[in-house]
Amino acid sequence: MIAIINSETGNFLSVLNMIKKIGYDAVLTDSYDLISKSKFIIFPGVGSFDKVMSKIYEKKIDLALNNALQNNSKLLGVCVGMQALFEKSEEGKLKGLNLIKGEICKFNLDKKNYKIPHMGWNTVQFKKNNLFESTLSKNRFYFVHSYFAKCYNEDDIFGVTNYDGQFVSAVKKDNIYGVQFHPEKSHYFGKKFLKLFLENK
Amino acid sequence: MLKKRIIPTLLLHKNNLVKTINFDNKKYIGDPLNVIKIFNEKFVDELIILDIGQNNIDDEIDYEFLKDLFSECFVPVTYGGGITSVQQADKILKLGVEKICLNSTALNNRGIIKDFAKNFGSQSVVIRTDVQKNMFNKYQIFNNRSNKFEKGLNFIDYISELEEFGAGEIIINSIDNDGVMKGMDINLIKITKDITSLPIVYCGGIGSIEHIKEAFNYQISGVSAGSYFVFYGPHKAVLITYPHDEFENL
Repeated sequence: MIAIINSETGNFLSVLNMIKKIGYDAVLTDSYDLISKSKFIIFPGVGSFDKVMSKIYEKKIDLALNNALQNNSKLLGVCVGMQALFEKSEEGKLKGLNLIKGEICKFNLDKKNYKIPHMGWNTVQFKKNNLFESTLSKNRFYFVHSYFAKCYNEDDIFGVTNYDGQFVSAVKKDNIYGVQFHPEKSHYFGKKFLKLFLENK
Repeated sequence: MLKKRIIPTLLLHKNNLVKTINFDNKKYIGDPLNVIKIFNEKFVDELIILDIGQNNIDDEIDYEFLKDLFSECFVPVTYGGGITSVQQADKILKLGVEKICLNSTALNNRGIIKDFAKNFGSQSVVIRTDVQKNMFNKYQIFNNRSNKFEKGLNFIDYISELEEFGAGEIIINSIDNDGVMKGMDINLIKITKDITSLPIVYCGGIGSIEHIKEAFNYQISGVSAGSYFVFYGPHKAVLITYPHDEFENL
């Protein structure tokens, strides 16, 4: 079963629509039991870090995710859902899930030429020698964010994007995936990405 | 690097898709759901969907209809038309929309932009402004809800203050060029670029890829068009096009 975590912050309906478009069924849920038992979990997040995290802790979704991961389930964090996988964020006071080593920082850019948020279509250079890189060698994805991930462990970096320098736009550690972009709003490329996540063993 | 955005603007009127010329002469284009599906298959960057039948403040927004519509949008969407409150915007954003577009609502009460920005973040608040040159070659702003030009509201003052009020993006639309497909109001692009650092999307008059290229010379964030994406040939037969291959190299 595919569970989409309903953190009450935005784009989960778009994620559900995209999963259906690919040909799968999914449930929108914040249930501890359901998430613990799901084989695939997608964690979309929009809005502020603390708002998303407080919902996660209130519903014990952090514990449910640990249960699911112990059963070899696959997890995909999207946007703030990806940021939540890290230890902490400059945006908030609450702790992250600490599933991936690192922290979330605010963009510090040449503001005249590089606006914040980083919003629009940009390309992702996926990690070499894997199916995502070969399938999505030419791509573009839709981004909206003002904060970015700093990985402590270089092995966890799964994709990078250029915007006044390079930042980490995708992470992967074992069965845990995270993307800063919105696959549910990146038409053809988003579909391909989600299909790979769901079907690639 | 960020790609320059090329965005179809789709006009709804009583749940049908229409296109206007100089804000008049509504022509029926087709079933909106069908047209949106086609645009998605053509790798469209983004969609702007505006309900132009929502000028009467008492008209109810048809959320069920919008839910169906947005369920086929696998690209970012800006939606506008008849939104006067944060509560309405919240409902619409939850249906799978990225950005709310305000026009008359912002003209009637600029302070309300702050409420939208506070609730949803500036990145979700787009202000669209419809302008026309008057007989003295000055830009005047049209208010769709009152169906009149704004008296005493200077275009430059209005636009230059929008960032402070919390807007995240500006769509500037030339009524003189609406539906004409003969080129843009370059002067309008230049003036707007000078008075705001917000991302600008220009709309009005685009009829060819050369026009789009020309607009991007002025470093704006995106261009939008209606006719260019829905009409074909001198007799304006309805044909949905979005030549994304040609756009890649702009």
